[in-house]
Amino acid sequence: MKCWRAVAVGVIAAGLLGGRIDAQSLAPTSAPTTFPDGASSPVAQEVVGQPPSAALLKRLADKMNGVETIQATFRKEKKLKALNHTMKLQGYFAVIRPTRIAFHVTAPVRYSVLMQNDQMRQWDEDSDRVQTIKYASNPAIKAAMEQFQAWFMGDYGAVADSYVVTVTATDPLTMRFTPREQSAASQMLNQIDVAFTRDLQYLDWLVLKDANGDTTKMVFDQVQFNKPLPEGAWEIPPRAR
Amino acid sequence: MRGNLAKLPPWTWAVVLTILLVIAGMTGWSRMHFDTSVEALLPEGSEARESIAFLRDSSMAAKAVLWFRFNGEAGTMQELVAAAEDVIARLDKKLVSGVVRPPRESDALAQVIGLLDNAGELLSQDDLKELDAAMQPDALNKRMRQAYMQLARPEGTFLQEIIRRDPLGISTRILQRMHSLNTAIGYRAQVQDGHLVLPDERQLILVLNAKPAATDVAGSTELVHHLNEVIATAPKNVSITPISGHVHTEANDRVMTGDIGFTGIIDGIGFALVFLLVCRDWRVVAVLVVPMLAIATAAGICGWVFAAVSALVIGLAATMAGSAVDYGIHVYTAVREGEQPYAEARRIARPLLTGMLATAGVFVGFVFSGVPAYRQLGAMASGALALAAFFALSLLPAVVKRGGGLSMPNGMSLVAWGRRTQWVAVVTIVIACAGAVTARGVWFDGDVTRLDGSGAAVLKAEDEFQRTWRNIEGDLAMLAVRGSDREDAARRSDAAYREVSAALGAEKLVSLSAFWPAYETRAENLERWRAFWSEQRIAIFRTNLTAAAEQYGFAADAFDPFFQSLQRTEPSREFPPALTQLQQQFFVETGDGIYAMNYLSDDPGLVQQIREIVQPRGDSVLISKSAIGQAFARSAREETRMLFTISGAFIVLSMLVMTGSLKRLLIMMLPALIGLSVMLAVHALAGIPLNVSSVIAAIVVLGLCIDYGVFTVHAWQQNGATLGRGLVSVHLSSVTTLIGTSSLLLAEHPALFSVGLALTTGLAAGYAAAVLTLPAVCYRFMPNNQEVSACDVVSRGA
Repeated sequence: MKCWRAVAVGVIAAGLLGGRIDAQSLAPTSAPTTFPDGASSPVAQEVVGQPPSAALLKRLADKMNGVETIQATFRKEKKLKALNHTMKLQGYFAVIRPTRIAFHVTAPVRYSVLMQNDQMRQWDEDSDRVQTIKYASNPAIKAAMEQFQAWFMGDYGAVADSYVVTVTATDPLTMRFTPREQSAASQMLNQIDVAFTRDLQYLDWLVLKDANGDTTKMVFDQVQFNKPLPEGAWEIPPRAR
Repeated sequence: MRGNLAKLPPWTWAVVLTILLVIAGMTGWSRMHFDTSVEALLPEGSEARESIAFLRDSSMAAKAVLWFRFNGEAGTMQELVAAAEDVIARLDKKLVSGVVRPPRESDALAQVIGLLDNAGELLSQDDLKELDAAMQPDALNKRMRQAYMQLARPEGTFLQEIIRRDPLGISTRILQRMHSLNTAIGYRAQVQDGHLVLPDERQLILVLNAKPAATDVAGSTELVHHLNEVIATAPKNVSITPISGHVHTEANDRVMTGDIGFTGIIDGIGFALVFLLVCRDWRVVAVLVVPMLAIATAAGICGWVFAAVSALVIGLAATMAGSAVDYGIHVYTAVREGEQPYAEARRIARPLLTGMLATAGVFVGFVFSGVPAYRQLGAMASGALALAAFFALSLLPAVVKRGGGLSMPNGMSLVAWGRRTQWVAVVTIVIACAGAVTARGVWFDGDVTRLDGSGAAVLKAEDEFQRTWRNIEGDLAMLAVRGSDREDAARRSDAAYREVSAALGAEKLVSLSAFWPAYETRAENLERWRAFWSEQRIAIFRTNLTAAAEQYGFAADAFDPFFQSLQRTEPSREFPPALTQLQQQFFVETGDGIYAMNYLSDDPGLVQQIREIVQPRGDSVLISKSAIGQAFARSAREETRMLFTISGAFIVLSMLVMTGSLKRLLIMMLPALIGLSVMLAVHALAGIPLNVSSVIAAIVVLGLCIDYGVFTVHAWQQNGATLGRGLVSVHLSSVTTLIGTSSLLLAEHPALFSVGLALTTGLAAGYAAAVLTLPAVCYRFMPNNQEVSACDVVSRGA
């Protein structure tokens, strides 16, 4: 009965992360990857079309282990069947690992989402109201949080139950998350493509393809790790920026 | 011939009569139908009785849940699903007819969003009133802005399908109503891989359709044993907890059997020690046989009188009539002291019959009760007491070893004892008066669930289950509306929902009628909807909508799904398959039809208001835990009032006839009054309420303590002593009874503990009053042998 809510929240999660983009067109053509930490590249051993190796997943997780805070700006483009144009949004986000994430859309409309501890808070300028959703009363939201953590924090084990994961490119590393058959997400999503920066430190972009043909894309810029987060990053409603 | 008959021993006729009675009783047992439900304890025609019957007969009573969790380190949901599938494969089809399978979630979302296409049949007249206002150009502009903002937000992708089907923002309330149905009932289960799960916490439940009802003791025991066997095969890291009424039935039966066994052993040892030490005669066992024979015979005769006899009543009547063992003790001690058994028996016949009439008198009132179980109890208990007195006086003298006395000194004469204990009597009477005042603080708890002896582990697991899976606080009551078939039940439920909504507001009742009413209602809605959407109105709306939507860049075909839905001409015949789980929560089958279920907060005030609204309909049952508790309490109050009136009059009259003196009657009643007063005071001081069990125990206290009073006064009039020939029968009967009742204080089962507490405190106080207070009162108010009693006449005649 409540599965539609679970799906809704799953899609909210995907919507936050996804963007309309041609994954292959974003693939860089630059020189082979170098690894600042001097380790041998685990990506080179990955086979396109196959699931990522355990070593790769571990390396991705290890990369994030020393990270406590993340902040970045993003550009988001949504191509929806209901609209005759592409909706373009931009804003910034902040993360304190492992459980605190804030998204602020600043243009052309303003809305914010803050997820922390056991609840999620939303605000938009039209209603100018803050809506609080407790995870305890909505396990679907909590499940969505796990997905955020997976994509933003390198914990892919958390979504492995619901998605089939395959490597789609190795330079840069790109992986595709395809909802398993019969899962709630399969009704709404065709796939999620996730690309990493060359040093595997973080996400470069995400692409979401809906089952109905809609696509959304999200590209991250100015990614900073372990830097002091901007004041007011956790304020709902947000400060003007 | 007459001469030969005259030569027969005096007990011959008694034996012949006994044989005839026993034959009647045994044949009665063979045709007896047992009623194991508790509804027999509620007044005929009462709503509480209907509620219990509904719960017993409904398919809800046969549901059992298996709760799967991980022990220690959590695994994957796939592991739990595999464990659940393995359990399903092992279930015995003789005990479990099937497992509730929710529809797979893959089809659910499309079906749920597709509900918006059914807007015409699901929106009511009140909803339509808002359409006109929403179609105005200004309102449409505002709505398009809102829709655009929704698309921009994270959930926009999901909301798009809804927005395209609901450009006016009104149809969406269908989904809100559906959502509120689920949240109001309050379980958090989601569907994953065809199972009900809490995916984030890696937990899963299986809902089983069990064949035995939860009220079936043997069936529940078999089911629970089977489930435990299946659970034992689960992987080591998976814990499976059964949650079901069957678990309570099995546990209560097991605990009660264990307690009774333990009490029986203690009782038996106590009885054997006391009697073998005091009597030194194996034939004393016959004393025990007397009440057993009486109960079996009386219950059997009831099998001829009543169509179905409550099993609970047989147990209660046996407990009451168990006090008749005292008659055997009185006869036994009298016979052992004399040389002529039947003469000795006749000597104590009047006090024994006086005590018996007083105790049986308590039950005479029950015969006039409106509660079937109480009527049976009245007939069975008073019959068993009368038979026990008859068997004790007519058969025991022939069995018991005559003469020789008892291994007990006579002690002090009662006259001396009465003179010396006057101050003790004053103190005990003062204590009893203080107890009577304190007893005003005692209250009756009609909640029978507090007599549940399932044990802490079962209750803790259920509490944990509720905290994990439920998302609302407090209990829910149910309004069940009966129909001949599902559609009829839905139609009647719609009418009840409309009545309640009009009087109290729609939010008071969680009803499927608010979301998916009966076909008839939906057809009316659709007709109204189609009449509203005339071709001209559609054309105007399309123009206005296009103008408003263009400002925000909506595509030309963005709202086509809405306009297509306006073409529907027939309401859906079938409930959406994705919502079958919802349907199962709102329809329940019983033996007499199908009930449409509505839910409400179990607030006594609200339950009463809704009862007053739906009662005239005659097709509804209100099932409320608080109301059932209140009904038990009300029934107990009314029965107690009636009991006091009828039984009080019977006891006073019969004792007046037997004793011929009001003063003596009051003195004889003194131990009973003190016993009850102390019993109630102890409950009040300990903060323990009375319940159904303790009220029954109070009646036993009344009966036995009257016996103590009668026999103490009798001993006083016989110039008896404190021990030996005098109060020996009172000592023996009370000590053996107290050994048994005090062992109940160790009982694990709360109902038995309640009985133990009431009996032990009441009987101990009554016994103390009989021994410590009564001789002094007799000394003061009945100077020895100054008054010639009927008892004396009988004894002197003998």
